[in-house]
Amino acid sequence: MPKATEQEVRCYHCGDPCRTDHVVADGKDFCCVGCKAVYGLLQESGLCDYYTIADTPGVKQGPSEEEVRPELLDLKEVRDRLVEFSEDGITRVRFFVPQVHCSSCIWLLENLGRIHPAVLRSRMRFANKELTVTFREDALSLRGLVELMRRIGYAPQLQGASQKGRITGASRSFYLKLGISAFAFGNIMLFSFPEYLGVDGQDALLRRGFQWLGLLFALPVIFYAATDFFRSAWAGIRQRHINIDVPIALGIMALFSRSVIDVVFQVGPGYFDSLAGLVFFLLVGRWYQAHVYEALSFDRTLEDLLPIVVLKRDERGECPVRVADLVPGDVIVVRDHELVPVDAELLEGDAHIDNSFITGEPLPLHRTRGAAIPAGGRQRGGAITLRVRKPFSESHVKRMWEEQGALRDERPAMPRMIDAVAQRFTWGVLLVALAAGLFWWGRDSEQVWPVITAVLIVACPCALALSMPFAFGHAMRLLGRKGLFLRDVEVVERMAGIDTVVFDKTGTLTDRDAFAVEFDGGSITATEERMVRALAGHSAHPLSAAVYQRSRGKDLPVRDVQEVPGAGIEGEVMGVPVRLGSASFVGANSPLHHADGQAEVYVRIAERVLGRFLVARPARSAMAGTVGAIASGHHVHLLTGDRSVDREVSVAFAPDEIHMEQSPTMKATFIERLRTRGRHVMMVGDGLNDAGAMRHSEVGIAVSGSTTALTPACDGILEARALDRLPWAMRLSRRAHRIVIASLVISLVYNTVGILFAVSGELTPLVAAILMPLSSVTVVAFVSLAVWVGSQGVMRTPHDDRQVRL
Amino acid sequence: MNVIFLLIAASTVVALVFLGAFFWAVRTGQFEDDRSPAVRILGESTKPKADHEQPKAK
Repeated sequence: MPKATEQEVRCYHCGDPCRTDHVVADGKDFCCVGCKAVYGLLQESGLCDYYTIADTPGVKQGPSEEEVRPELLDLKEVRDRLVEFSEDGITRVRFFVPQVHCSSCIWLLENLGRIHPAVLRSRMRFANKELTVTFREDALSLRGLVELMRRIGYAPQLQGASQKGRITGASRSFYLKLGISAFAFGNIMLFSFPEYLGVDGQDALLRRGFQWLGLLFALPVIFYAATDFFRSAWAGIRQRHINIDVPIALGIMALFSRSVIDVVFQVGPGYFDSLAGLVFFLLVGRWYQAHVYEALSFDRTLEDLLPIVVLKRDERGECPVRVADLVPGDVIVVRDHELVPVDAELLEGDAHIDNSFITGEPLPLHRTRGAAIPAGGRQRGGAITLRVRKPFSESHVKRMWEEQGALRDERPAMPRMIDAVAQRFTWGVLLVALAAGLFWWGRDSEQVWPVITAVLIVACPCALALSMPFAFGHAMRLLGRKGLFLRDVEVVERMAGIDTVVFDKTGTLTDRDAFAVEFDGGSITATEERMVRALAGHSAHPLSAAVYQRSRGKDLPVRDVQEVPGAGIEGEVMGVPVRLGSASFVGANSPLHHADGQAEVYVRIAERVLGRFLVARPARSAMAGTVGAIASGHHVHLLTGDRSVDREVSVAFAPDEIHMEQSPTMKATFIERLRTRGRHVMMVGDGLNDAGAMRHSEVGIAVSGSTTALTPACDGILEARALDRLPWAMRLSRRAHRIVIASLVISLVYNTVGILFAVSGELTPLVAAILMPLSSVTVVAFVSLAVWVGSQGVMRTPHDDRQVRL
Repeated sequence: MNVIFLLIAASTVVALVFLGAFFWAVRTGQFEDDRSPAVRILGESTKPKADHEQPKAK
């Protein structure tokens, strides 16, 4: 249990501390009305086991930014993307449900049928957070189903749903390859035992039988299980580049051809057991290296981030259309929390556009009729009507995205240490084989072929190939447990070489969703504060919400509420007129100075202007410590689109490390410049506005409030609460890198020993059968142990007893 | 001595049966999710037995 329970009352549903909106029902505490509602629904359906499987499993209800309007689900276009099968009114649909994190979630979603009888069957696949639901569409529409899931806190993510990672045939065939090689390895080893144990040759037929069986079992290994290595090696050679699979393929081919010739010409028993064992171990390494975080998506395209359909208004009324089909002149309606998908002009309504997604601008901008609204902004407040100016394909965001080289293929391949080693290694082995062949040529030409193949066989860098996936893979899993999810093991290697870290400010070092509200002015009494809170609670404006959140207490009744768009809100609290809003709205004198990125809300109670609230985005609590720890060993830079930086952030950086008024393109060029100066750059950012910079850096890390939020293409996703882990993560990756180097030395020692056997013509199948698995197992054991031990030192922090979900 | 050939054949057949079982397991997705089935068991004791499986055909 978390320690905090001693102090704070925690929500029975989601486990968050109960603060402003504490609700008690049924003898249980809830942090908000939303959580209580879910509890009520579950209790009604007899599903309270949900709370016993895991503690506080619930997902807090909040205005989700990714919601697709429910009525859009009635659109054929959207429905077709989701529905897998539909016949006789029975429909099967597959959703991606990012909120799923524990056993209770699985249990509840698999029991949807007890909440609504029309759900016939629901099955969760936890590994990629997919829920497959079969339901009667005559009793429950698709829209109804999505709304039901939304009500219990598991709104499926519908955007980009069709591209979500699905278990493909590829991973299944991988398991088959692994199984076949394990099967062949075990059985051939059994067949080889008589040979190794020195069963005398009294029954030649039996020996020959075993040898042929070995050959037979090795066929699927070489022609099916090992094909990936040949393919990768061939691809490398065609690009005139020797990768680690080249010496491996060479070794496998040498093993196979030598063994076949041995068996066919009755020279010896062959090395089939070593062959199958080698392929098996290598595949285990590949399996360990495979992508771990299937449910996370690291390759977002712009289309994934923007809505796919939007409500269009014409003379017949409103109907949903695809964003791609919009033409200039169309009139569209965008509601609260929705993204404006194309460049448009405001026709009606009061726009408060939150551009944080594109520019990093922290506070919503107010726009009035006739203003141009660029694509990618998010509306906060009431519905607005817009006229489309440009089709989606020409929108500002799309251009920006493309300018930054957003296409994934454009990213240059990063050199891997292992390939550099493999290159020298391959040439070295070929030279040794040639020299050994020449040496035997003069003495005993019968030995030339056996010695050359023996060198190639024993030099097969199995241990070398295994050390990297295991060391980095292990480090990657440890990092994931602490909240940093990396795309693949190569990112760990690149992270080890980083010498410069560039931070984005908004949303990365400062919190995107939290506001710091501070009262500036004379004094404000508790009663006045409650009156302000009561009035602020009646407005949907983000600034009102921030003011409302500042204080707590029971809401006072408010009468005659009137909201003046773009100005403020007024109403009567306890018979006293109260006004909140801009300086001119409340009648304050001259506007006072306020810092950039700060907004102000003036307060008037009765006829007196009390002062103003200053609203800003606070820095994340771990910010100063994190930047300080990284700055002690790296160059650091801060990039921001703002014109000034809060003191809190600026003290963490030297003045010449802060770069202000950076546009997204400038950020990308900045990174580019650092890299041409030979720096190894890591970019830590958040939104779309950093996507280009992340792409140009060696390691692009997206800081995200939750792993389910939409993040741009990146190499890693860092949970915002784990920001303080970044220095540790970097230290761990450097340790893992050193461990790989140590393991390379160990495996080279094995190879040298093996080559000594080989050139002296002593490499019997028995020696190979012992030496090859032994080297692989020791290297893997060493690496796994060393990374684990290494992580103990670097990963211990004061917050380690914090419970980590996922 | 010929009995050993019979034994080898028999053991190989047994091994192949297991390989076949493995193939079946992979193809039916047994290795794709190792968490949900474990949780599924927890809910089963409290679940009303009816109307959970596939719908009756109309």
